[in-house]
Order: sequence, then C-alpha cells, then structure tokens
Amino acid sequence: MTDVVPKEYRDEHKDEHRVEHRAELENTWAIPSGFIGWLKVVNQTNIGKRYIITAFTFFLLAGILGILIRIQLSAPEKDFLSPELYNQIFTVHGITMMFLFAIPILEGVAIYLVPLMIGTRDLCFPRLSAFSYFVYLIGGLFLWGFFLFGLGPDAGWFNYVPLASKEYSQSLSIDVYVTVITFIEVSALATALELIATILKLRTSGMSLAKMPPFVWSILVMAFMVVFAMPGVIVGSILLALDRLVGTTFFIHFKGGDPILWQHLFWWFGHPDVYIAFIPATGIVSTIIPVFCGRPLVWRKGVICSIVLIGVVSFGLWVHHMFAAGIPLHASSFFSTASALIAIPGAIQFLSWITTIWKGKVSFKTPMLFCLGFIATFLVGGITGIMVAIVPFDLQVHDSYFIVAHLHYVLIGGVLFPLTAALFFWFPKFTGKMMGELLGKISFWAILIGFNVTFFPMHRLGFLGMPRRVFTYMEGLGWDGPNEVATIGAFILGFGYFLVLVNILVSLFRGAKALNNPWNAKTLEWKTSSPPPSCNFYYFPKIESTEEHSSTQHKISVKGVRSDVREVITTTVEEARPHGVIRLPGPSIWPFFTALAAAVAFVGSIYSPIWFVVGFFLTSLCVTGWLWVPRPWNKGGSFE
Amino acid sequence: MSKPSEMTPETEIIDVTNWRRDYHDDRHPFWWGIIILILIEMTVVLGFVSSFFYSYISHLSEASSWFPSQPAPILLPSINTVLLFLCALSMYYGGVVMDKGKQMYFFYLVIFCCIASGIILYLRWLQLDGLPFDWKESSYASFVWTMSGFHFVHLTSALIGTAVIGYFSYKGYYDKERQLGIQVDTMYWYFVFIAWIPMYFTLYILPRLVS
Repeated sequence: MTDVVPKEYRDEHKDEHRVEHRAELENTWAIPSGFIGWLKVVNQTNIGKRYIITAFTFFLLAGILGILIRIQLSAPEKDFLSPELYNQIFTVHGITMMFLFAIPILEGVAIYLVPLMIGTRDLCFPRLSAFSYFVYLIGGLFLWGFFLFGLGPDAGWFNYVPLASKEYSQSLSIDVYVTVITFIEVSALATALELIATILKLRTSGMSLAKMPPFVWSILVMAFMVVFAMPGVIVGSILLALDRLVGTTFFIHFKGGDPILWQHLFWWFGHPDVYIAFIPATGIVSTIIPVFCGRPLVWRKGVICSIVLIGVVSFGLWVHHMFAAGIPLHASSFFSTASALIAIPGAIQFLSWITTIWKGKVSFKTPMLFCLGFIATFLVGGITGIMVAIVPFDLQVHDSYFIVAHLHYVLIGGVLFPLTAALFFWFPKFTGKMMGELLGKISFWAILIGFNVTFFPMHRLGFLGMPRRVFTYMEGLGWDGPNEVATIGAFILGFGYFLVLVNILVSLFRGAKALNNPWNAKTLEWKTSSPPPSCNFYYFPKIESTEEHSSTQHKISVKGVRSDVREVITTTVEEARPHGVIRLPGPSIWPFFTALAAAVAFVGSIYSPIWFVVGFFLTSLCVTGWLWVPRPWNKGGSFE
Repeated sequence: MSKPSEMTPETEIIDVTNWRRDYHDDRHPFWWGIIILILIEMTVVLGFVSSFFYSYISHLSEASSWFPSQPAPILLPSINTVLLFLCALSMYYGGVVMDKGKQMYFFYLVIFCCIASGIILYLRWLQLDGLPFDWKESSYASFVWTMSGFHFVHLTSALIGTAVIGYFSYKGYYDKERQLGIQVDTMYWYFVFIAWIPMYFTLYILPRLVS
C-alpha cells in the first residue's frame, strides 16, 4: 500500500500510528454487515456494484426475450409464441433494455467511478443513492412480476395512444407501464441530481473543470440531460395514467385532447434518452482508447466540447421520430436539419479516437477490441441515422425492420460494446481480480460476429417491406432467409454474452490478482487499491496535470479532515479550490423504507388513486425520519 | 481559520482542522441539490404548461372554443397567489432574522408560514370543490384539476417540511450558522410560489383574455 500514499500523508501522521489512522478511517466508512446492514448501506462503491449487477441481470433477462422473439420469427407462420404473448415480450424487451439496463448500468458505473475519479470519498448524498437503487430494484421487480403474471405492458416501449388508451387496452398492462416507468424515472432523476452536485462540489483540489477526465464530463452532461429529458415522460405518464384511471381527456380529440401530444412528450424524453446512454459510452471509449494506445487522447478539448454539443443538440431532434405522424413541412425541415447536424460533433469524436489509434502504439487487449468494435458498428448506426433523418427516406422505412436494424446498431454498437469494454477495463478495480484475456477475446469475436449476423440482414428486411412488431409473416415474401440468418446470429450473440458471464464468474473465484493499476492508466481511480478501501482514499490528493492524474507524485491538498466521522472536502465549481468541509450521513434504513413507501404510492395507484394519497403521506413520514437530526446536535448531526 | 481567499492552488497543504462543518450557502452540496431539484420540478411544470398550450393550439382551427363557456372561478386562486407570496416572503425574512441570531422571530415567521399555507390548502380544496365542471368534461377541465392537484401535492409537502423546520427551531437546533435546513426550505417555497405563476396565468387568466 505504500505506493499509493504520498510522503506528505506519511509526514502528517508520523506522530500517530499510521496503520491505526487508516483503520479508523476504514472503520468510519465501513459497510454494515448482515441482512439489515445490507438494507442500510450507503457507500458509493457498494451501491454502484449493486446497480451494475442488477442491471446486468435485467440485461440477461431481456436478452433471453430477444432470443424468444428471434425463434418466433425464424420461419414464416410459426406458432412458438401467441400474438398476445409476443406483444408483451417485445414490449418488455424494449422497456427492460432502455429503462432497466442501459440507463441504470451507466448510472451504476458512474456512481462507482465518479467519486474515485474526482478523488473524494463518496457521493455527496449517499442516502439518496441508496434510495434511488431501491426504487430502481423495486420498480424492476414489479415490472417483471406483472409480466410473469401475464400483465406485462404490450403496446411497445413507446406506448402510443390511442392504442394505449383505456378504450383499446382494457387490462392493467398499460397502467403497469405508466406507473412503474414514472417510478423508475424517479430513481434516474435522483441519481442524476447527486451526480451533478458531486461532480460540481466534491472534486479534489486542483481538478478544475478543464482538468476533469472526459468520462466525468460525459457523466455530467448525461446527468443534466436526465434532468431535462425525464420530466417529459413523467408528465406524459401522469396524463395517461389519469386518462386511464380517473377518466380525464388529455389524449381524446373530441374532448379537446390530442393523441399526438403523447408522442411529443414521449420523444422529448425518448430521443435524448438514446444520447443519455450514448454520451457516457463515448466517455468510456475516450478513457480506454488512450490507455491502450499509450498516448493522450488527440484533441481532448474537442472531444469534451463535442460531448456538450451532442447533449444540447439532442434536445432538438425528437420530432424526427414523428415524421410519419403528419408534421408540418417547416417543422420537418428543422428537425431533419438538426438530426443531420448532430453528426458533426459525433464526427469530431470519431476523428479524435481514430487519430489517437493512428498515432499510438495499440495494445489489442479485450477492452480495446470492444472499443474498436464500437467504432465499426456505431459508424453503421450513425450513417443509417443520417439516412432516416431525411424525411422522404424516413417515410419509406418508417416502422420497418430497417429501423430495428438502425436502433440496434446505435444501441448495441454505441452503448453495449463500450459497456462491455468498461466491464473488462474496470473489473480489476471493482473486484481486485483480472478477467480472463483469452476468453475475453473469444467472447468479443462471438459478440461482434453474432451481432452483425443478427442485425445486418434486418436492413434488407426493412427494404423488403417487413414491418416491425408483427408476430409472424407469410411465406414467399422473401423474408424467410434474412430472418433465419438473423436468428442464427442471435444465438451466436447470446453465446458471446454467455462467455462473458462465465468469464466474470471464473475470474471472481479464480482470476489472477489485480494490481492497483494493471493497465498503467492515468485517471485517479487507479491511484487507490483494487478494490478500493471503504473510504476510497486515505488522503485528498492534489491534481496538477490535465492527463496524468494517477501517475504524478501526489501531494495532499488538505489536512485536518477528521477520520472518526464521514467528512469530505468541498471545492469551488470551476477551479476546485477547497472552501469547505462537510459531514456525510452514515448508513440508514430510511432510504429503503422511503422507497417502499413511494412504491405504495406508485404501484398502488394502478388499482386505486387512494393508494397515491396513502403512499404520499407514508413517504413524507419516511423522509422526515431520513432527515431527522439525531441528538447530540453538536456531534455530527447532518441534513442530507 | 483559513478564509476562501487564502485557498489558492499554490497553497501547499490547507489545514481544515478549525473550519466550521455547517454551511448554508453554495459551499454545501445540499444547496446545489435543491437547485437541481427545483430545476427538475420546473421542467415538469413546463411540461404541463406546454401540454396545455399544445392542446389549445391544436384545436384553434375548430369552430367551438377550446375553453368552456364558464372558466374556472378566479377569486380563490387570486387570494392564494397573494398568500403564496407571503409564505415565500416569510421564509425569506426567516433567514434574515436567523442571520441576526433572532431565533424566536424566526419561529414566529415559521408559524405564520404554516398557518398561511394551511389556509391556502383549505382555499384550494374549496376552489376545486366549487369548480363548475369535473375533470372528465374537457381537456381544459382535466388540466385545471391536474395542475391544481400537482401544485396541491407540492404545497402539502412544503407545509410538512416547514412544520418539521418549525419543530427543530422550537427545540433550538438552528442558529446563525447552522441553518441549512432553513435555506433549503426557503428555496423550496420560492419554487412553490414561482411554479404557481405560469399555472395561474394559463388556467385562470388566459381563458378570460381569449374570451
């Protein structure tokens, strides 16, 4: 451990036993044990891992649904799934991948890594992160519970009205969608809030905004996007829930409502949501590529500006999902131009990555292979994105399998490949073990081949006129061959992720022990041990360089931070100059109770509005308990 | 105690031993957290208001008016607007008197705020009870009920939060420096008041201007 502790730290504690000082810190920040302790944990490393494991589990479940879809479509007129079940399966597949996997796993990675990358000991609202995790977990379990009992949502992940209105969907399945989705979005918003506050206020001394790693920049932009995008789907879901539960008329035209309003509200969230997932993925790639190319990222400032630009422009694109809904010509032109415009910051990032690879000495380890896979596959998704931004082309392929191919190239190529790279890259930090390299490379090739064999033929299926969301098709339309090939590809893709799962399990139990910095990476999380101690760092490092956060001979920035209570330094927003010390709250059962109470409000309102009232007052009671300041007030009482 | 102006990056090691641990300004992340929460809530309010205008505009070409012949009565909402302003103002002055260490004055202002917000809730209840239409009648009626209800929920949570602040104030928890809870509650009151303004305009003023 001596390699991670600077001289100043040793000097500061030379009069006391250094080991005792560390032990006291670790004890103060310790994670409680036992089942009740599990419910009380607030440490970001633990919450982050929970998010990642839960989201990965939902990914595997949604992946199995994807394979079921492919089996059903592998041949014409197959009756492997009934039409009703097929509707639920493709809807739950989409909802799970978008709401329970893509965003939560990226938030989980951010929750784990951001405090480590900015040199602090936790997120600034630790209990809020515990609350958001429980909300996410409970919401996900309810959604899948309803699905397993035959009440899964069945109107597609974007749940258009009037199909989703009471008149055409009488069962509770759409009520499950509108209430559970809103509930889960509360979790995403809570996480976004604390990520923004943490990044702005808890960066270690000297880590100015200009010196902040690209990954942290991407998380900051993602979090702001969540803040502005998620309320769209929340408002839409509230309005639809009221239409269905109490008979309001927001989406009923002859009563003054408008069904297209739902599309606007949904896509105000839905399109930025793609970038909410994509932007952190670019942060991951911008972190990993320089490490395996042995050189700094080319035009780092340009990449960061592009991240911000993509975040801003992505809010001007939502109508390109609605070209076929009868949008006025001038509006179509505006949104078509904006959709094409976003290719510019995207291209800047691509050029930066390619130039970094070009100028570097590439080491083809598994994380780097997945980054290269990302560049190749996302490029295809990006180009087809430009194609569907053009109105006449979009009108031809709208709601066809071309769109299915496009969105999977964007989401699997643009998000899943970088996430898998992140898994291999940060697994040593998460667990203290290395993942198997050979198995990693085999899984990469299986995934790359399987993915392309599955989704590339869908471009052709779209051109041949095969519509989305049909549970079967007639023989002789020319769709048989591409569908059969796509199904074979799905099994190869599934096998690739099965190998990843095997690799994780084998590495956890038999993996080689990881060094603190096995990749010789430059960001700050590699400066602490693998896995990090409960307090993340024993000291608050001082950052002096833009790139070399982990390899500089650190000086400590502050002394006098108490080790018997959970204290961290706060710094100024732009330059990160220390200007305060705050105490963070410790483990508590209240976030769990609050999440349960909120679940009563949201899930209960599926059955009766009275449960919302009950849940509201229960939640207020729990929040009061959560924020209650314990006596004695002069010792560590703290509002969170 | 070191002052922020002395804390330049060039200072080698800053000793924070004697720094206070209680802040109620932008040094504390909670201050930022409540700003972001308000940003989220305001985006939701904007979502409701935009939906209102979208529905209104999309029916402009129709012969009959989108608004009902008898819009929602305006008297009680107008009284509530004034009371909401007074609540926000009382919490603002609460912070001012607490800065001067006058804890009892603060307590009285909190009591005033709680009573005023209780009156607002009661008037809101009367207002909804006396509406000349129910929520099923038209899109406008649905918006009146939904946006008023949304604000009602936030008002209730503000009242509960302020009552808790009042309890801690009574017990002597807050002082000149330890008043983060007060600042957070005050900012929330600003939001509850400001969020009401666009709702008041769209639901009560606009139908009268249009007609």
